[in-house]
Amino acid sequence: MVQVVVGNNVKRETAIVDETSTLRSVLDEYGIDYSRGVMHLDGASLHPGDMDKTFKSLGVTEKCFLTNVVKADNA
Amino acid sequence: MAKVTIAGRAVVITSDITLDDIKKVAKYRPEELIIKDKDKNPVFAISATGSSVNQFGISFPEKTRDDKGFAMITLITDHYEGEDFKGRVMDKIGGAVLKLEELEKTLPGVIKEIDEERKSLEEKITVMQ
Repeated sequence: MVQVVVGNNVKRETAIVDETSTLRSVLDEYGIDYSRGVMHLDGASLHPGDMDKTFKSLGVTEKCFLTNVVKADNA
Repeated sequence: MAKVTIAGRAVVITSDITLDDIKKVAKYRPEELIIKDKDKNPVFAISATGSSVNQFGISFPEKTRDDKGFAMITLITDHYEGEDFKGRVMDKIGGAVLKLEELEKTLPGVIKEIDEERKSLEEKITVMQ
């Protein structure tokens, strides 16, 4: 099992999920919109195709941060 | 209660909940497979997919080969020359096993409720030939 801190700019929740879960399934379950901004796993940007990979395949064995960061433009 | 069996470098954790029952609870009441702290943050969970044991949970990949089908996971430990192998194993998995036993106390009641709900629903279904 993997402890995932999942969230975005305004909220963060802690989840415990099976290591065979995909990143997308966890984000969907916790209502994180990943259509905008950049997805990060432990601070590193994710790439197209990574969302349907499992935590195990991405080398996560115990815990991680899975966050969506939207950078707002300033006036 | 969960059992831990050591044979050589193999450590087998066997639950007294069947693998099929864990899958059933995961389908109908997944929240019952999770232990939460007083702030409602999840701290430990079990599942019937994957294969791992750590401080956050146990994923059971298989079941016992008898007719009971209890959930089971086999770990292969590192080579160890010391004398207290049991103590070493307890250090690695003891916490997880204790948490598993907490869930084993509550899950039989949950499984019974699910079975009763399914039976009640089944009685309402009519199959027209």
